[in-house]
Amino acid sequence: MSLDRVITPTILRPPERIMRLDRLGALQPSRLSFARQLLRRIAAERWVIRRTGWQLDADGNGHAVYGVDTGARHYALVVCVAGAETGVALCDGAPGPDDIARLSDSLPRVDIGRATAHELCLAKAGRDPDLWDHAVARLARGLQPDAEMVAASGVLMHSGPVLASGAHGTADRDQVADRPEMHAPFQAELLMLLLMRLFARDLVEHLARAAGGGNAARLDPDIDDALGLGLSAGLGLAAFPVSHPCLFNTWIMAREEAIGRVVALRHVRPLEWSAVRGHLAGLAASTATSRARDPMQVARNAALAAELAQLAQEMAKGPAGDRPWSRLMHWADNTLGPDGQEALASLMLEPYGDLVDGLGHCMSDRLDRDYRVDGCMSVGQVRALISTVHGWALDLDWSPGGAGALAWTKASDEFNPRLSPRAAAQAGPFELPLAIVHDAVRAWHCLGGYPANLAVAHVLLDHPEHRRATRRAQITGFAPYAEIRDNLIDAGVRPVDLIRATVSFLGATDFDPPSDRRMRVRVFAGVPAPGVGP
Amino acid sequence: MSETRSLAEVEDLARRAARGGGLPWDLADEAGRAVRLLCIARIDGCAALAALLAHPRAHQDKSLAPMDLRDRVWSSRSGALCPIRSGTALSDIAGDLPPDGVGLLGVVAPVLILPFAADMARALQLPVTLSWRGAVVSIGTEGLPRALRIDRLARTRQTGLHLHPGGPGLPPAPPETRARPAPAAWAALLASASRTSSPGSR
Repeated sequence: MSLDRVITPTILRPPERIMRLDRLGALQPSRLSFARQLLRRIAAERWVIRRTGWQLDADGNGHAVYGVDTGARHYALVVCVAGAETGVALCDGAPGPDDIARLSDSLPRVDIGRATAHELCLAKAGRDPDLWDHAVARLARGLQPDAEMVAASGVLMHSGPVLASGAHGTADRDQVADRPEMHAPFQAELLMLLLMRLFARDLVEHLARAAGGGNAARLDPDIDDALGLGLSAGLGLAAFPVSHPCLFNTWIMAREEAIGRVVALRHVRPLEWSAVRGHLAGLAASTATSRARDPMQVARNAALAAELAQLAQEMAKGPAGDRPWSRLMHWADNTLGPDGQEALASLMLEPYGDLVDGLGHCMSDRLDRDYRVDGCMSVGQVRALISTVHGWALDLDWSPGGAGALAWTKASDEFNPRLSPRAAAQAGPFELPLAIVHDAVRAWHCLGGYPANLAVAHVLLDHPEHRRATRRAQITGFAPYAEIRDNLIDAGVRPVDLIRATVSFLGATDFDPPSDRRMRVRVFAGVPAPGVGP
Repeated sequence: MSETRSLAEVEDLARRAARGGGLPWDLADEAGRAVRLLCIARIDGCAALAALLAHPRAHQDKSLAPMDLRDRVWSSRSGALCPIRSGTALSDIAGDLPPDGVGLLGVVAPVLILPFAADMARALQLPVTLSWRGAVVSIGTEGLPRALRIDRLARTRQTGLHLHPGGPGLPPAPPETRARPAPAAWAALLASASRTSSPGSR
């Protein structure tokens, strides 16, 4: 590493620019994404994956077990299939016969059964309605699935919502959070999804063999590598960064620090420049073949494609002058929209693993749970923190006909919250505390009625309803990227932007929002399938 | 034996139950956290919260809150103190706790004060000592201890308390990784939490 990489101070992009929905909704995965962190660790530590159990009949009913040996610990995927229902669990350690019997009963239920502390996560799985039967039929006849169908579906299997971190009885996050391999967010969930993708391939081949006998073909490794696992994300993932401000701050901060380190490089090697050009060309190609049908996403993809073409043209000139990445980012800031800028920002990190990968250790945080309000802070200080972050919103009309148009609620029988017009939601008793900006503005006005030098604890005693806003304001004092600088109950809000931000940090690709409330994506697409040991 | 629950499930249900019981989300967050911390110390926080929510005035904003944090003895207009409202206030002013401590009159479900006392110990980096009806427990900076006196406090419906900085500080209990709430308490919290859900889709 050259000296200038170490001593140049990093200048971070300001939160008021980054924490806007239109920019968060433009984020692309990067080498800091959690799926990438997992894959790097699997390779570096030479994890061994073995198929340790395969008790599936000719119709695919039964169970399969995949063991993972990290060298230090064991994990295992248990898949149970009964007719149309498939359930999966990632176990902490190798499952015994009792575990298998219990999971065989609970996993394939329509409403998946409760887990124990032995399971880190659970999900239901579904076969792709277009590609699955086609792939089985073709492989059974000794043929590969049709290339166009492979490209159109992109997955053999989809995962339902992943239940983890204590949900549905699974192990609490604290059980694994201190393990190096589980320290980064969502590592257990992503390991489960990675193994599900492996199972999808094995099951397709198993069913093809059952139907075609000796004539059956195995799935071409190139096709296998190209296929991902399908995921569908809803408003739960939109609410996630809002309800985890400290954690989300670490994600954004790590990425911004990485971007800052790269743009500070005085010199760029031609190989590094061309590597980024290659990655951008890859993104252009996948954008051109996107499955997205949502009119806004289609328009956005077209705009991104045009911007990537401009960027390719600019980069064809080669790295120029002092700090070429800084100059290119500056050019992008003045020429491209957020989609083009953030694509460059994410992919510019690719050649610099030595410079940025270590930041992956800084993307976990327990302060969302552990931070305690400082009641001795003065009313004036809390108001100043609120106005620094939400000053733009202090004078908005927050009536239902104005900025308070929508309300977040949740029905007991649904996994995801809803976002509906305030009147229709009958929000009063049911509203979830996700109207962050409105809550901050209300607190700011209320605190204005008290002496500026009074300790805020005295106000919170009379007005406990401003405690969350006070806490969040105090958090912004040390976590600059904690708050989203947009109104999440505005009539025009597109929560899919928040979903996009979250899934891009997961490492998902192929963003396909069927509406402004949902996002279909793929994970691990294009990733060589990990070798399965004997 | 009752079914085990993850600590996240306990916190989530306690939080929604507190909201359903009329506390604002802000205090419901605190209630959920307190219940979780009790369960980690093998105290049935769900039962304590269910007892609090069953109090006829639990949902009224002011009537169970301390009147003035500058008082040496905290009391409410109704004569009963909510442990969540009082506990958060204690945690808020941890840095300003008088050397001879504060008294709290008529705390309902008083075991729920313990997690906030542990917060104070952590914030002050000094044990704090809680006393009531001839019993004393000193909480160290690393978390809640396990003691028969605490089990008795968990069965106490309402009592006066005194809290002051200092004391020997008992070592923390080995942390429980699962909660074993009493089925009746769990059912009561479920019923209260259901009031936070909008009408279902089915």
